[in-house]
Amino acid sequence: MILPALAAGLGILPLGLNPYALIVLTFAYIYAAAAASWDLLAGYAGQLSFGQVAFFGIGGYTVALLAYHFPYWYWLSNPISATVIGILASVVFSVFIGASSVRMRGPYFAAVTFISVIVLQQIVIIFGDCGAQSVALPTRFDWAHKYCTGGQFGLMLPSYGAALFGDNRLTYWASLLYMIVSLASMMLVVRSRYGLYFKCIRDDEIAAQAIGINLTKYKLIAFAISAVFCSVAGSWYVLATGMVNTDMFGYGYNFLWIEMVVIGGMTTIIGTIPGALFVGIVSELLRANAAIALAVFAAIFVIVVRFLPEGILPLLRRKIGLR
Amino acid sequence: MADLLKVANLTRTFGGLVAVDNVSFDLGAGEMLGVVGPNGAGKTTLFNLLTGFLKASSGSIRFNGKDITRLEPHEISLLGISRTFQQVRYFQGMTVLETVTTPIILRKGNVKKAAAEALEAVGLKGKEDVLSKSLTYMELKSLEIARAIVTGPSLLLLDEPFGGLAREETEGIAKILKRLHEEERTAIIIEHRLGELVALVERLMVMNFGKKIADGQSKEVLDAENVIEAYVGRGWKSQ
Repeated sequence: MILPALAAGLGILPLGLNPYALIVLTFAYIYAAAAASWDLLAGYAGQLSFGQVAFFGIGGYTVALLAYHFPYWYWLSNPISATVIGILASVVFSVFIGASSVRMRGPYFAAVTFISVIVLQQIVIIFGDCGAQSVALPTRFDWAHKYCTGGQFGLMLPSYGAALFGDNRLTYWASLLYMIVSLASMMLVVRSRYGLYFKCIRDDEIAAQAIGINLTKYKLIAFAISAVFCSVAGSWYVLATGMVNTDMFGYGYNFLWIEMVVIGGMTTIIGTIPGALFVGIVSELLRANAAIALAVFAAIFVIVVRFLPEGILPLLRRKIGLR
Repeated sequence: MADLLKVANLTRTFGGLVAVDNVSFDLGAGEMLGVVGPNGAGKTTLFNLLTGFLKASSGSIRFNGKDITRLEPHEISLLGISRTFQQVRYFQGMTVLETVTTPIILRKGNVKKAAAEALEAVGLKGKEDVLSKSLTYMELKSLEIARAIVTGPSLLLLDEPFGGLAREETEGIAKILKRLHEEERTAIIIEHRLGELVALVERLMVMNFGKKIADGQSKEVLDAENVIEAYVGRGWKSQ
């Protein structure tokens, strides 16, 4: 009920908003999808990962690097193929990290996921120094560009962003549609048998094993599924903005998503919509002073956890009777 | 009676402590065995060994002819051994219905029928949509039993089903256990309340300091001098 109503409301917004506001909202939708993937892993499966942003970066960089280095191999570098390759890379990475860390609990699991992001960010920086974002697109496949990531400055991709979708309004609608499809897919996952197994693991690992749940298997599945959705969010971010940089492997996003989930409502998936809109709009209002913004977000986080631990969405559901 | 469970020379040590010391016993299908003994006797450790939560230092466990000594807890559960815990373990964010349907979904069984029967059996019918965390302790104990019996396990392990309940609350659980007994379920029950236990099981096994010190007909076991000395005392019948 709540998702179609929200979608209809957000769908008509571009008719009355300026292009800048549309860009702010477009980012919020992409972050909502990425944050929901963290909610799936942490809220439903109880796996407190601080490395979710790794998959955002993998998805984003896969699309960007393929487009930048293989523009003439369109079968490989087109947005759909590149996104699928990003998904595969993310799943492989999630299984690699997951296999070594899902047997760990609490802070140990969080620490391993945290460190994995530092490693990826450093790899991007180390392999970045063979051209800058100002370098023109190669006219043909060029081995000199093989490992070029653009380093800390990243890459600009003129064929993506507004050039891909036409204009800001179309980018907005496409991103809104993407977010709805992404969240609806995640809702299907958490309402399937996998969602039940994830919740059992979250609530009591010993009881979960006692009823026959294979902890390692289903934790890995949760990790891989959330990696898929976050990877697609990263790919979409690059497609929608036409740029990529090491911020995509930055903790800033990870903490932003946690804030969105907590404010919107943990273990709801779609709570990330109000969460992302709130965080996105407040971020823009405080853009002039980043230090104040950080303090404000920290204060909001503490207040929500203390006085509204369920978040905005469950409160709305109770007040308006929405389901 | 064909042996469903064969435990041979089972031993588990924790450093210098021998928690389960060379314990052997068999259990036939349809049999109910009571396990008693003072705190720290190794009863729960025995359950943890049978269900794979602890691995044996030596000895073996065969279930339905298959060696399960080294299997993981979920593998043992899927083979048909269900258990409850001394301290209730439950899924607080799940409803009563979700709690009992999940084990069946995992085994691809008939969800509706089995869930309805299990909830009926433990008296939780009508509470399907209640969140587990909203239940009373007695209801949680019942739910834990429902979760264990819903898959129709070949062997049921109940760890202190009356534990933590006031005497007047035990009646509901006693009814559930009586019904399981009438259905000729195979079960091992750890319990300190001897009166309630003896009313259910014909056979008792007594443990002390990790060793099995007696195993046989309930009455004979409770009259044995070494059991009176180690555990029950002389006045237990008057309690």
